[in-house]
Amino acid sequence: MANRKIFLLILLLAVSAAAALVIGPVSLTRDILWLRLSRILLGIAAGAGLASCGAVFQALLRNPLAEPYVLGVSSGAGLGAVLAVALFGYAGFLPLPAFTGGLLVIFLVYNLSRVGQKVPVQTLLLSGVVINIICSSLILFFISASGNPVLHDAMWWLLGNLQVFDSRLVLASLAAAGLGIPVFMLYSRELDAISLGEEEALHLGINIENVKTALFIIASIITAALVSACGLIGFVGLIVPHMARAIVGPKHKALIITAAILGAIFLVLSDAAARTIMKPAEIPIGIITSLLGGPFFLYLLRKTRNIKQK
Amino acid sequence: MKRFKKIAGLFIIFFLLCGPAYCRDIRVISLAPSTTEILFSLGLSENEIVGITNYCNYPPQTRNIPKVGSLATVNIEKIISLKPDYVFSVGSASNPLNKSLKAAGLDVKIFNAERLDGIFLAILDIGEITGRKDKAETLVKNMRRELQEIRDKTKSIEQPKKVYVEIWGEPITSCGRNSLVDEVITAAGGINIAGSINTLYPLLSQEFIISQDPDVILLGYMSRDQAGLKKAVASRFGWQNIKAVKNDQVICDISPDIFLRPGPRIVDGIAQIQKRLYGE
Repeated sequence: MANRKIFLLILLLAVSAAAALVIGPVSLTRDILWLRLSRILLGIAAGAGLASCGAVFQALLRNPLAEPYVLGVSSGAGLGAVLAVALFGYAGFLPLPAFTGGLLVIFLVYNLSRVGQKVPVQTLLLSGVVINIICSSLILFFISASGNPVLHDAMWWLLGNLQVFDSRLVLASLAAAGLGIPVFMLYSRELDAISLGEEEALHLGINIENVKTALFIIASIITAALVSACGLIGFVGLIVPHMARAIVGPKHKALIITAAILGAIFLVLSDAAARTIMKPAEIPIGIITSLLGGPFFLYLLRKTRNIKQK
Repeated sequence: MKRFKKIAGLFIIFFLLCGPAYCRDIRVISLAPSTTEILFSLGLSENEIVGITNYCNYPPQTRNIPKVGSLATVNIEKIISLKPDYVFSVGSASNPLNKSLKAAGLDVKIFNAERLDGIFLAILDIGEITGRKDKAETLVKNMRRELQEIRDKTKSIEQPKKVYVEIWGEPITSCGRNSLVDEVITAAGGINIAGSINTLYPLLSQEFIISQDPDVILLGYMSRDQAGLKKAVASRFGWQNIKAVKNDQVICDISPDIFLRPGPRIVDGIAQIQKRLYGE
């Protein structure tokens, strides 16, 4: 049953991608084709990556409000970019300092919450949230303190955007999502157990600390890579896993792949809307994802009434 | 009677203190780089312009003037302590900054020039307020004359060039209809490819820019490394076939301060752009 649903979703993704290829502010010519195709690929990578990371974070933290940005990776990435501009006058390839910032924050959050060999989930969540707030404040501080007007615009970069300037970023995003999602699926049994509760997972003979660390690091690296490539795109990582749960249930083997495909469809279509609705001007994609996804999710919530976290 | 004497005495001291105020220089604060430039070009001195923003970088004398912050982070206490006669501000009259400046009893004058005509009006108004009416009229007359000369040249251009102006790249931001830049490009004889868009500063889609195939790309970033930006723009995915990139017509060496800033140097900016588009 789940397999059939997943197959249908893959079909739907193919149709959405094909439709997105012909939807745009200008008619499709050879020059435009590659640009639009790369944008669709970035949408697939970002959507699949964020949604599957969201599902993993929700399971690891056993919290339905968890999402890929909750532990501060995103504001770490933002801070990395802002610091590079503010302190070093950096005007080059922003994704690089952003990715570095994101990784440093993961390292910091992980070590802050480590107690001996263990990383208690509550501590992880709380220190992540606090680091997130500190980084955001530092971003605002540097933007308002620095006379460099570039930084005022760096705020926009954080809003998220699937425009492709550099095909290497598309490849990096595809690689991050493409390598990460199979790993998540390999760990699906452990994720099922952990989302029941750590005690229960232990009784099932799972070395939860190792699994938690590995998954936390992998999901964070994917998130950092995606934030660096396309900024903050809200909503996908939070809501799509819940949609996936409503469709295939809470078992992670089906859940992760379903969330990934749904996330990809969702971003590809949202981006098509973002570049078309006010053509030739663009709308930041985060606005579209919330406007499209919010009401749809509420509808789903009313309809199924029993979307459960576990 | 004793009390009356005391009060009278206070009054006399008060007036004695105020006396010098009537014969001293005017004291003004500018909260916009364009206003600062206007004030200097009207001949106000460093003693009269007592406070400016961190972004005010022209003319060189701005270096010696106390800074009161940038627009988002203006220090109101500092402004009050500088005892200005006028504060030249920008933005809406009801925004928190302007409201609190007014509440502090300051005489706030707001200028939001977005078009060439607005710049001329602002210069005339500021001239009137600061007692430099004649100077302002001469300045505006000269600017109008030079602008007319540029427009006369524009009339003889047979093949107007398509220009794409980029003021920021993440996300791609250009200048639409009703923006000063649109007027500047049109006056210089170019066609602004974003000129049909109603937003002032539209976020453009790359696909649109590529399909418009502009002859010239004008970079107006407020950043330091313009040459590096030029390289980055030219090497963007899918931009190699744009005429401006193919023919090395990505202009990065005209300071955006002279074509983005609604100040007295704007006509010079138009002249420089025209020269780069069509030669002498």
